[in-house]
Amino acid sequence: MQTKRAIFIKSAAAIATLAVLILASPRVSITQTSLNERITGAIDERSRSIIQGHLHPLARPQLDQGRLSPVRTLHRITMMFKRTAAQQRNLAALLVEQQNPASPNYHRWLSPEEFADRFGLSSADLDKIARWLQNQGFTIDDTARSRSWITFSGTVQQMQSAFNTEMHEYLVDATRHYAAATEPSVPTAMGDVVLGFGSLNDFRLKPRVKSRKVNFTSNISGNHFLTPDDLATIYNVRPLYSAGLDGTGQKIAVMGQTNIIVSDILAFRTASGLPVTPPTTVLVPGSADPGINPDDLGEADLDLEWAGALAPNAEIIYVNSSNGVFDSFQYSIGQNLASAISISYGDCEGNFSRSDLNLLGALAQQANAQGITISAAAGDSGATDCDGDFTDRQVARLGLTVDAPASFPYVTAVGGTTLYDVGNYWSTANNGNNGSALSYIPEVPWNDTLVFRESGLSAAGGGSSIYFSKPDWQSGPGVLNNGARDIPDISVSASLHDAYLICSMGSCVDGYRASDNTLFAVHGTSAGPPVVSGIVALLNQRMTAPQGNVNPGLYRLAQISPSAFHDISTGGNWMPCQAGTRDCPRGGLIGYGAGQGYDLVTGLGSLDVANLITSWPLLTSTP
Amino acid sequence: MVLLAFMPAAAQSLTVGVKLGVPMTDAFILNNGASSLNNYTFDTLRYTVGPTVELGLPLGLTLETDALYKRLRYDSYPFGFDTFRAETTADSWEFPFLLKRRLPRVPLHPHGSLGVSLRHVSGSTYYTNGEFQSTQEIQELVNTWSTGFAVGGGTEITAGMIHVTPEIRYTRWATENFRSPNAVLASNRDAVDFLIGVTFHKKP
Repeated sequence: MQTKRAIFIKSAAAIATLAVLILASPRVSITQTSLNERITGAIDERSRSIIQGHLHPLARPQLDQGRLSPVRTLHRITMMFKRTAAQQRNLAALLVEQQNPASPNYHRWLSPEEFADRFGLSSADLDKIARWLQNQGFTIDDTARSRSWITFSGTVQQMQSAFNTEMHEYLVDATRHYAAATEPSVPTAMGDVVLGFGSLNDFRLKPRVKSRKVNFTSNISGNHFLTPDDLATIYNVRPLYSAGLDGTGQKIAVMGQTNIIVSDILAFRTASGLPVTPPTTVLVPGSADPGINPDDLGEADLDLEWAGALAPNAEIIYVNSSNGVFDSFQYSIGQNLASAISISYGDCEGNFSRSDLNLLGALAQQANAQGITISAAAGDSGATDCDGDFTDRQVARLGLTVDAPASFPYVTAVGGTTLYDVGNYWSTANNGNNGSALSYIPEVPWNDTLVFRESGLSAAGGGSSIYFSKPDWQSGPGVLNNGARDIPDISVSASLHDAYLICSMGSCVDGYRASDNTLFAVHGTSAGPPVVSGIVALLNQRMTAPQGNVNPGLYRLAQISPSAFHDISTGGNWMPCQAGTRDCPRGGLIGYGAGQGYDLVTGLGSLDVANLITSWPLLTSTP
Repeated sequence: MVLLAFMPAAAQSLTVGVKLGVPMTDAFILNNGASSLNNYTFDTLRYTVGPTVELGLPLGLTLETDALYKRLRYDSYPFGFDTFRAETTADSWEFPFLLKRRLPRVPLHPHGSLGVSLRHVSGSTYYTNGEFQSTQEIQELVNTWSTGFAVGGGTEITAGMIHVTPEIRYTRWATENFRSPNAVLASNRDAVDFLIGVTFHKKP
């Protein structure tokens, strides 16, 4: 039996709770009511809306091998939600305001939950969709904190039945893939809220690293290889170290699709004189164990080892998924894991389904709104990115093309250079951190095909996007008035001439050397994103806040503080092309030449990191 | 242009011939401070040649127009490294339109001229890395046409119908035909030529 005192206490507690709810509820109710329910009618299976854009360009009918086994399970399919026109308009405005020092929204980043309340689906709609998916037999893997997507798994049969599509197998370049053979559809009641599906095919983004085991020692050959200490010298990072900037408190998320051998990362950090701390490894929940994929391991090692190269005390988070880097990317943004994302995977724009581009674009926009800087590789096949998929191809046939996601306006596209080290730029002996660079080394565009007769197409990616229009911030001397998003934005050394040392598959036994005294060296624009992510970590530490999409700042700084960049103004990303093919009527070379100011080969150039970071505050003080 | 239109009607004589000459200035200039990569070298071929026509005008003036050909050539290493080379050759045609005034009663028959000049350049660049060869458009050719202001002076030696006219001519070009992307190589906008005209003078 309750005493009067107990009743009083319970009543008081109830009143207090109610008061708290009342006080707290206005914000919740405002945000919730501002997101109107968009699924208003009953979900009628018979009335369908086709969701366009899922037919993958590489899944051609002539390569069709028939239906995919109906009992096969497809993991972590993503249904991405479409923003309303007003939401998309408001998000675009917010992204501009977040980079405008005069705006009250300048650098006011959103959490995923805040993003949900402004640009996501209502909770009620999300619940309806989740229930509908469960009724179709799917297992819900997760719903995004931003209420922008839902991820689920199920069999091919369930997929085909629920979305009224056919999943087929395709034999593409001797590799079996699956993809939707017909456009999926959803009940009309949901048609207005579904942007598209991720993972309806297994065409993966490709690593942009070129690996090789070097069968000679550097002091014998006279070749030079890059270590973190070298890069800190060449790109002028040391003054920042002296000022106490080392990445402390910053997080860099590296996108991957293979397991790694952590001892390789530790061996690299030991050989480089970096703090010997392992990366934080995150396997995307619901992902199967990817195992070690030899095709991806070199990329993962490069990315993880070099993300920490310039920001030695930054926390490196390795996000891994058996569903590919797309899934890792989605999870990193959904969970807001880090303020810098490094993605050294990509493919030429023409090899994406429209739906995949839409989904990646929506994710990248959310990332920017959360203050995340994304760095991506600009591609390794010069101005002819699509030809890079054919490793034995000596001349381009597919015309001028660029790499995505580097071509997204929400991403910093990192191209490649070659160090023109004719002169006294290297010490004859390595220092304690295995570095030997003496100063900045002049750079020219990376073009190993023409300069070093490297087999295949091996040069810095760059050109104009066929999908994305020119962002307002992409302006300044040299920027073409072509209406298209041009890449790259900036560049980093990428040539075989001065390849990056890494440790991979136990290769580092004595410093960087293997037991047979060889070195493991890699090159390509893959090196750019981790290096730039490290620079972003230093920048964020200096500014004591994330910077989001740094591109507006980079282009503006190029005009008000040109010493932050090394302009590269000769050479080009020309590739030999076959006469009579696209963009190549007479044969010879196709591509672009570098020039003063911005160009489609090296962008704004490479960075003088100390100058960049010390002059970055000018962006807020200079009108 | 108005002047040109009425001149044939007013012409009192016609002189045709050939001009031979030696460029006394380089066709290009190198600005090695413009870039850390000074990757251009050039040769100035020391000849110029072409036809010349002179129309007699009232007041002792003549209008001279020439078509002077020059061969231009430069080499570059677009990436600095000597493994990939670019050899550019171009044909330059200059078309000066000069009002000329002779002083026939003065010893050595000095003359002076003043006018405008047009220049057209075309050519190609041959790229090679030993294995790969390609002939492309000239990357540094930013203007195929340029205009200039010309002034000259010389003497004239006459032997019957043949006139020999040594002359120094200065042309200031308003625009560059060539400018390398790194601004290291550019057309020399100042040109001085030593020319000798050999013409046949025919009274109307």
